[in-house]
Amino acid sequence: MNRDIEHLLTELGASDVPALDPAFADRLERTLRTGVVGGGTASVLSIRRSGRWPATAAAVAFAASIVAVGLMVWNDQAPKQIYVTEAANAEVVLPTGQALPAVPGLVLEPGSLVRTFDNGQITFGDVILGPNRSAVVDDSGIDEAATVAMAADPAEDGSVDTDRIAGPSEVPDTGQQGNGSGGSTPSNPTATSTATTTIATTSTSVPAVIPTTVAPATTAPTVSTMLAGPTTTTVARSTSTTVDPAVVTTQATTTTIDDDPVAATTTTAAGTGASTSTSTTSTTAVSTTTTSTTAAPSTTTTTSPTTTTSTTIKEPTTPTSAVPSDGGKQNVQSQSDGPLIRLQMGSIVAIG
Amino acid sequence: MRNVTTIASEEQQVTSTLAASNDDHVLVERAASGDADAFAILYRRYLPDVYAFAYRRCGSREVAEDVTAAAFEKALRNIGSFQPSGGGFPAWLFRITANQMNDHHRRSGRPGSDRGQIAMQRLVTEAEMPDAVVLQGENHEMVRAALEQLSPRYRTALSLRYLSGLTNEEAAEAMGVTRGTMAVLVHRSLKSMRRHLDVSRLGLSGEEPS
Repeated sequence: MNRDIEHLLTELGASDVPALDPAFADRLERTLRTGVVGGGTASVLSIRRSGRWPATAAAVAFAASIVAVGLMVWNDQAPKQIYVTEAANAEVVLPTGQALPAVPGLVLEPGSLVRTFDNGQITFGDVILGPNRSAVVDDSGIDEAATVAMAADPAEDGSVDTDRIAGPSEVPDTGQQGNGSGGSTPSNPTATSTATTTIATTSTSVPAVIPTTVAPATTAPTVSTMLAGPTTTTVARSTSTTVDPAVVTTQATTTTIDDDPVAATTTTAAGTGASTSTSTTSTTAVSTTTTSTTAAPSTTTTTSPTTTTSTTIKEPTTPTSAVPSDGGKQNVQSQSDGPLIRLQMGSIVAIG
Repeated sequence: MRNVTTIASEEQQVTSTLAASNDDHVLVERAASGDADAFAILYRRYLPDVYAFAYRRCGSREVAEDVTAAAFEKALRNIGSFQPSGGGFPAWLFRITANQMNDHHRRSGRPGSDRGQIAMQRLVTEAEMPDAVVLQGENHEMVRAALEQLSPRYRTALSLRYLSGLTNEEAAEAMGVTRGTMAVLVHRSLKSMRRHLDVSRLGLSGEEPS
């Protein structure tokens, strides 16, 4: 039987063999030659398998995509850190109470207070605070660009292009008028509270419609704007206003930006006297709704899931008893110190 | 950068000169010293035989190419350790190839793991084959299957002896044994192989050898 097996083996040894693939032979020779010339050995195990590269490439691409997604998720979950990128004439008060001059690179721990002085400015991420501003860093930090323009000081012409800078330059002209009955002329900045939210390149134009007779009153409008998308900003501000009791004018402005906050125009109008006016201004990218409420004890306006505007007006008071409460004093004090802004994940929320 | 045609032309000139004037030992020495042309000559000289040996062992073109590439890679890597006294270069090269084949079967996890692929190839081609050829192919598959059941030493001995085209002396050199020892080794390998063969299907007598 061994002879039979020998015969089978001999037959197998003499069997036909498929012709050698010339391409394979050439590839292998070149690889071997490269290995010799290079002083090393070529990795030729993959020579014949080179024809299988589509499957291999697909597997590698799939694995790479998995890794990329994992890294993205991990990166999103990583805690974000806020640090000063630019600073001038500003300081940071750490949660421990230690005050440090704001310098680029300074990490803003949660609970830190950021404050700018006259002609000061501080930048962290895409957020820029103009002079005489205060901000508190929240736990979640800042994610996207957010710029807050808050009415504080009068501007010369009542129209300001803020261009992502929050500062007093955005404050509408609210010069005082002395006719005492409410009118449409610019008036004292204390007469009307105006809150303007500016996102990205924002042009704020506020007509000076201020009552002429201004008496201290308490008005604490709060404007909270949430922008959907990567740029999400919540702005709130506490502003004290002294108003004519007969003509309590508050303005709440909501701004909704659908796409990239390239340009936004916020127009604020005021209602005076016993009238209530509402105006809506639309631009190509921004829809602005301005609601003015006159002499309303409490008015709350909510606009869309992304924009919330709240305006609260205390009881109208007489011109002569314009500063009736401690709250009013506190608000006035807050105004004189500049707006206090709370910064959190993609948002800035005022604290009164 | 020179184009491929130029390189190939230069290689042809060099290798033709070398091939005409040098035997395997000289080429091996030159290859060991880093002469790519010398190793290229050896490669071209033995590539068909190595490939055929691998194919007859496994019955798969893809596996044969894999094993061939691995064998030449290992030969290139270890050509400095080649000892002419242990046999000629082809014996050394076929021994490497046989070992690579054994490694391939070991890595594949189980003997005959390429059977599925081979069977598919046969299904495609056997429809047009004469019955005798089909029967011969089936016999070859059974022989290969029986070879894979053997120990690596027995498998290598039978492969080198019957499938590589080496002479008895060269096969003994490749195994690193004398011709007498090789004969005994082959006899025992055949005896072991018989136990793994389907005697009835192969039409063998089944009688024990004397």
